[in-house]
Amino acid sequence: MKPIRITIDGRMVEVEKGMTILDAARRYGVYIPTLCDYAHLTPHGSCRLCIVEVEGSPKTPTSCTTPVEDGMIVRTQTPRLRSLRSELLRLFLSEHPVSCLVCPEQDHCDECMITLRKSGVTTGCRSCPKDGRCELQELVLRIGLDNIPTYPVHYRNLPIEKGDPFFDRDYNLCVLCGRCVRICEETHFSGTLTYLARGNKTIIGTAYGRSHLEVGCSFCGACVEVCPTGALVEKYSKWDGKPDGEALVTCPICSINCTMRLETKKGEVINSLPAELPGKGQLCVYGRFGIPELVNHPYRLRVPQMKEGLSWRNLEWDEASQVIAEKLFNCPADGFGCLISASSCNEDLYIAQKFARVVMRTHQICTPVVDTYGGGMAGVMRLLKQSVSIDALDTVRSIFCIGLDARYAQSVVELNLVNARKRGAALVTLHPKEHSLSLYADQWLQPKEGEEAQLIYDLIRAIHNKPIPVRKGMSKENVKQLQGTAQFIQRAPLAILIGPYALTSPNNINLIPAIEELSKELNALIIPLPAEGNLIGSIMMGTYPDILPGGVIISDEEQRTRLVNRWSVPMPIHEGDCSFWKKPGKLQVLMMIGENPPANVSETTYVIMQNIYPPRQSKVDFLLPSAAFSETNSSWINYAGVMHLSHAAVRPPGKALASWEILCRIARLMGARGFDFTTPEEIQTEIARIMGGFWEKGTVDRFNMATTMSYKTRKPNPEGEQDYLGYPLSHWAEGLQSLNI
Amino acid sequence: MERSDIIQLSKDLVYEKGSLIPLLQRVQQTEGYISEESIREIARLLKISENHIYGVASFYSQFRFQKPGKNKLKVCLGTACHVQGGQLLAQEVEKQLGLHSGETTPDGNIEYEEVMCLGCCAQAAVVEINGLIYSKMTSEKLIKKINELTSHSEISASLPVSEEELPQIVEESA
Ligand code: SF4
Ligand code: SF4
Ligand code: FES
Ligand code: FES
Repeated sequence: MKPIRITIDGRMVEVEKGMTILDAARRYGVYIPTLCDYAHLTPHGSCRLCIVEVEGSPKTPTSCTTPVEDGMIVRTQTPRLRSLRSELLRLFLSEHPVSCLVCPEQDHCDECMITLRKSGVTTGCRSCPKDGRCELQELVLRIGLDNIPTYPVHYRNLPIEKGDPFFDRDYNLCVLCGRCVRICEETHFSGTLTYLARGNKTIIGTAYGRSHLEVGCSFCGACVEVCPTGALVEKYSKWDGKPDGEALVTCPICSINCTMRLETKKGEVINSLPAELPGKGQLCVYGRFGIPELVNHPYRLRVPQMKEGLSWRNLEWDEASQVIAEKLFNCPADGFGCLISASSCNEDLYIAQKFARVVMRTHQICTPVVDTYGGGMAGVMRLLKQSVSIDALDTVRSIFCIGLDARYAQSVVELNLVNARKRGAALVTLHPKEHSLSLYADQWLQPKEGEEAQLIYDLIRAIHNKPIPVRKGMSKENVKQLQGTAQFIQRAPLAILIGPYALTSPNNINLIPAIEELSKELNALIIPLPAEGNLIGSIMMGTYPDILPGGVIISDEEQRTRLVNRWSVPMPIHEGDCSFWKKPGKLQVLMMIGENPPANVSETTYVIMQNIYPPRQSKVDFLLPSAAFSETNSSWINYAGVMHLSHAAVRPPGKALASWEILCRIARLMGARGFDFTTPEEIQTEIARIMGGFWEKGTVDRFNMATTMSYKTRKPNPEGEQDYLGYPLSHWAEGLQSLNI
Repeated sequence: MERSDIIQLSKDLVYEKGSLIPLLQRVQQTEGYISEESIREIARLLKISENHIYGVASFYSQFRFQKPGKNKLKVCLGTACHVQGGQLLAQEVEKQLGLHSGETTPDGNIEYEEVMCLGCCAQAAVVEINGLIYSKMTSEKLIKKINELTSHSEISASLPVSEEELPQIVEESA
């Protein structure tokens, strides 16, 4: 294809067909002021600040919507353009408060803030939460204003909307750029924000002025991030001003492990944003708005504490580790048990199981997810062994969601689903209850609770054009719907998304095999989305009685010998039993890492708890403050077996230490070898050696991953709400309590 | 409107975004306004969010979101009426009834609308009640009329006036 040449400000440049003038200018580093334009959004052409002159045209077209043409001669900075832009700004400002631009003390604000009085007084006002970060402010500085509003001021005088959790809305500051409306519409099925009315009454809002909670907003926060002004701002960091640092951190709250950009100020996390700009990047409400409260909570543990009688005594680490080392030294192998959260990073998981096996010589280590999944745990492991990334949704022609509600938790997948729908992929959803997809999918299969498996077998019958038995409570319509669904999902390739609801369903022991059969039948891609932040990690690190690092099953003679040689310790051969912690009285010492002790723990068991939060029950004898995920470098393995590296954003509070560091200290005091790690990276190197260097690859090699678990079949026992470190998330991030979960 | 009614109304339409405005028009024609329930059902049918439907509908002044009132009160704010104090009349309506343009009293008695020129500029300021034009209005006269409306709840046998029909002008004595 012949390249297109255009001239921008006297410079001849080569561009591609289909680009806009703005794209072209940006590629060659030419600045054109913009306001309504935003990275991944479709151009809107409404603010008109991006106007340019094109030779031969009397008009000044908006560069964000005008495609390049061969031979175009474009000027971006002329006196005429400047005066037009300045005029536009004046119009904007006639509807927008301007105190931040006109305050006569602006330049001295910082110096004047501290005044000497008897007691320290801080003065200096912040007229707007976006002061210093506002795009309108910046445009005024860049374009320049001849004189501030010459037009009569029109103040909208709207009440500030503070009724919803997480973000405030002050539409008096809105410049109607429409970015929020477009991001909401382009990334969700159920758009929340829209333009209301028209003319000079136009405003952003919802139908009938309902609250965001009422209209089913996901609280993904994309609108807040794209808003150029102070109209939409996070409640938590509203008056914090500019952050002074940021780090890329892996979200530990669910298995998707989104990368977050944590903004920090004065050593505290103040905000979390998706790593990429909205439209490409996304976070769910937990990751977007829960994090600062979770990690900055005033109840965070800061010092080691020991129970003495009824009260707690604060200790230094040296004394604390000494006391625990002595306690453990006198504890027989089968008197020790450790439970660790599956939302811990690989380093903590690896060291915890190494501690149990090498120092305590026992396999009694487990994560409580065996309870969450009950008898279906093996099925979940089989799914995880073959899972693929949600990026696969960009290429499939049909999608079948089973038990997935993407309203709040895991709402990030909705972006992929919306894009797939735009491409024309079919979307079918199966869920007994009304959920975020029920309205927008091509088909919504609604089985009774517990009958999901049966429905899937019926669906397989429909695929084979076999007659479907009409059962009690089923109508002809249902049969027809199944046949219709069968048509949809036979459009290959098909991806099956399996949400937490299905994975933890009371019937998961039957449901998962049904899903596997369907997927075999149609050669589908499998995408299970467990709720735990590092479930594959816990399997690959071997934090189960019968699973060793590398995810291998303990009865695998060869693998076990390899490990024994590497660690140079004998290893008990017997297979462990996941229910060791269920037998009260059997354990002398129980170590809880990132979990609360079970309710029925016996009085004679010495309970050591490592967590970032205080315990829920009183039966805890020793409290060790650990670092949160945002305070150490770490690694995580997501639902698709992809490794994510995470970076420390801030330092841990008080004397808190990473969990692996606490265990290494105790192990060294007990005379164990192989615990001389000083950084997480050293632990990663050891894991990599054991697992055959998976560290270098993006996706972990799951070839040897175990798919069985010796646990008596039980009913799964999922907690209603998403759990993190032994607590429902909303226990610490209180805004979450208002969500209708 | 219930789901079945909306399905009936949209029989010949394809269920896609482009059918939104025709469907809204039909609902308004049949029911006189667009209720919350209708919007919910349209959302289900066309797979568009309720918020977007409301946004689109609120752009066009032809759509109403409240049940039409029993009595229709219009205040003209066209140029001539504006000069003769139409705005004062509008303020009076708000004071007396608490209504803004497009709203209806909670009891469904009076529906209020501000309009631009009723075509009788010579008689400004003009108010229209149930199809009858009242000329040379003042706040006092308007209060009287409003009182009549609220006490009898009907001011005259309000035959619907077709658009072609010329309005009948009632001269109000002071
Ligand atoms: S938080 Fe997300 S879902 Fe809610 S209005 Fe903003 S963009 Fe839309
Ligand atoms: S609220 Fe913010 S993003 Fe939305 S239109 Fe107004 S200024 Fe733009
Ligand atoms: S950026 Fe082009 S019109 Fe707003
Ligand atoms: S301006 Fe009121 S009737 Fe014309």
